[in-house]
Amino acid sequence: MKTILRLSLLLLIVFGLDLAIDRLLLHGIHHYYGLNEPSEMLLLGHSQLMLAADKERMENELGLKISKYTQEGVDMTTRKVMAQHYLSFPSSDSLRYVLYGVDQFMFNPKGLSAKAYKLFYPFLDNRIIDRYIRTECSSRSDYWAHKLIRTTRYSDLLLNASIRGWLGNWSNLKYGTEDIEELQLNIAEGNMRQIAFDSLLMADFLSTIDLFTAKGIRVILIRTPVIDLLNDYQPDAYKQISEWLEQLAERSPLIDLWDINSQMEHDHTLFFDPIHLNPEGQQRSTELLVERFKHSFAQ
Amino acid sequence: MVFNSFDFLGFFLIVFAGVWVLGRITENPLPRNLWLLTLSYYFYGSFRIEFLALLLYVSLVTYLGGLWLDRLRSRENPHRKGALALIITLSLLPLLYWKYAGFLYGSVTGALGLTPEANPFAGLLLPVGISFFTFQALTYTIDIHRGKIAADRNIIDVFLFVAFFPTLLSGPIERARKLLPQLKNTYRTDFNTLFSGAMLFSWGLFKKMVVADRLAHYVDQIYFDPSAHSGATLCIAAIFYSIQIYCDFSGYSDMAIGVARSIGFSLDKNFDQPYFVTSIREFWKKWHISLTSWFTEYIYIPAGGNRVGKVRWVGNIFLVFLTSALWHGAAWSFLVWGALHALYYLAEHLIHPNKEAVVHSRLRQFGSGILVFALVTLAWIFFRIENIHDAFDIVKRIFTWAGTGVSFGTSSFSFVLTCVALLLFFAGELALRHNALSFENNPKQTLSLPNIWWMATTFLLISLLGVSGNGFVYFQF
Repeated sequence: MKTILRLSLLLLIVFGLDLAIDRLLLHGIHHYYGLNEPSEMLLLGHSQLMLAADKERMENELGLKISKYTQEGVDMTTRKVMAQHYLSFPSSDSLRYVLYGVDQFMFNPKGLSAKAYKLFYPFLDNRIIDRYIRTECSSRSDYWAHKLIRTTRYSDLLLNASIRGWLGNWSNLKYGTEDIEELQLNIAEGNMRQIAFDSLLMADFLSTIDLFTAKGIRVILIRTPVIDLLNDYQPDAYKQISEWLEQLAERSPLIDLWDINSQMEHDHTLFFDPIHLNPEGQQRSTELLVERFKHSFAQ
Repeated sequence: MVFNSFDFLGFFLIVFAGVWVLGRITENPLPRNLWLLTLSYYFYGSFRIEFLALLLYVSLVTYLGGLWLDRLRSRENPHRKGALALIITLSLLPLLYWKYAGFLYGSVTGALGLTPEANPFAGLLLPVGISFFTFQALTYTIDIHRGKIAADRNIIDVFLFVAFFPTLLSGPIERARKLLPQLKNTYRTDFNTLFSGAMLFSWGLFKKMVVADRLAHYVDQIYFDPSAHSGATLCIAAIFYSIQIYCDFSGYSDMAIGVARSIGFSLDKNFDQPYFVTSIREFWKKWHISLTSWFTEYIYIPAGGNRVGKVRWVGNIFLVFLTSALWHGAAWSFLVWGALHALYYLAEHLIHPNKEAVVHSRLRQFGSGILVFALVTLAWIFFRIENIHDAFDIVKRIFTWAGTGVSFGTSSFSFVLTCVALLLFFAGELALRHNALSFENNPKQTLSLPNIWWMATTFLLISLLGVSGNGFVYFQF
């Protein structure tokens, strides 16, 4: 009897602490991504938008509450899940604008993380994320381990996000600049990601936009900066995707396309790598976004 | 199926349930041993089903060889030594083929100046654990020859001794005279043995998943292109690798001993805090104890040990360390690692000829400890880096403090978490050293409140800070 009591105590301590630590970490993560918080603007995208937009500066200069739900290596399908996830919170009723990061590689299924679903483990209690992870996760034991033991849901990246959420720190820490000679060498060797038009990703992208516009939320497609050498790499395909995005923006009054790429692509000092901005680049792109927003939506 | 997987957890629960039930319905150990043998073969087959043929072969040679040696028991029998040599050779054949054929072929063709198009042995996949179960099997054969044990006619027990799943992949290399008698006994497993084994297992899992695998991320990244990093970074990588290999291998050993204890078996300690030593001799008494004692018992002492002339003794020291190096792998870098340790050992003997290193003050103890750790760390560079020129280049860059800056690996946040993991590990090791924590099987204390708290904390730290994806370093041997 004593043994059973002691073993029960062990289980109680383990699962009790597991739940308490999870609640603590999840609170930080929610704050970091601006989930479950009433915002008027949502920044949605992957690492390019993450490093291109200074959320705090935008909030200060635009006087809006902003959620920045950006994750590294997420493709169009995953971004659709992120949109559904964001909208599943009642607080999303206050949303008026979505700034959605787009670039020429967005419909290439290769080159992004195939295990991006792991970034969403902390939200496993959410029914949309649960369904998504159940589909993506190849191992059932892996799924159930994360379902049952909450502290396993946090990778270093997510622990970092949680701590930054608690500290209220959204700063871009990617210091340094791109090595242009190495980039030129890689381009010459053909080691770069290609522009592609995967129909499934295109469909997911369009349905993501529909999710917002159906609620009367304005979607602004942000052409995030990519270094010019890469923009000139496949001129025909680049032109094709640019035209496709322009046509999309013309389709609905609730869709806009803002190109901050063309104003930044030639200044190589602003890039940490060919597709990501350093802090200096982030300030420049944020400045452009704020100017454009004020110009377009001046009250 | 490795210890640090959920598949293994399911497997272990099935093993434990069978042993628990069989221990309650019969006094005869045969059903339990048959159960363990079947599941041990399933465990090994889960890596690659073809490897089971090798395990069967080594077990069969060991069993039949034992019976043959028993028949030639009389010391005067002229065929005894020949029979022993034949059985040992037959036992070693798979190991020699899979592990050393490629190296020998490359070395011989290289020495003869031949340039064959391709090494026909280069693509051979080394069966996991082959060095461990072969050496474990040899203890049975040699001990029968020496008259220390009698041949066992029970084929199930001998086959289980060779294939016992906790020790099968990476040891500890158990002696037949220690493990076989345990297979003859009946006992009852209970929650105390289960919990005591689980405590040791969880500490091993912590060392593997929280410390070793975190360090491996950093070390692998730096050693992927050593020339791109500064001497300071390479120095950190070298220190991290020393701790990584200890936590990886001792972590595995703790898990193996913990699993065996949970189902009622006692295995020998394989590591005894080897980095808390002040001499190389002491280090080798506490590092991979089961292999070191194997070489001492079956190679060093038969070769004359230290009861021979000085020149031959030096030869014996080199013989043991170079054999140990070759046991780890057929590569020149392993030989450099073994030779370095032989030189350390002999140099220390020259300074302190007749006794263990005597260090009086705490400061000198600390200094000696740091020196031993530095020497061992230096040797580990050759153990880790396959290309011997790269290894020398790393050593050169460290000693000349080449380049500037320090790399924090994939992210500075992960580096900080790795340092936190190291601090937790050192705290645990110190607690064990000063007996504030114990993994001994004491039924009265097993389910004490401090142990329950310790277990819960370790479990949560593993689930929060543990990283996965790395195999065990010693699986390649």
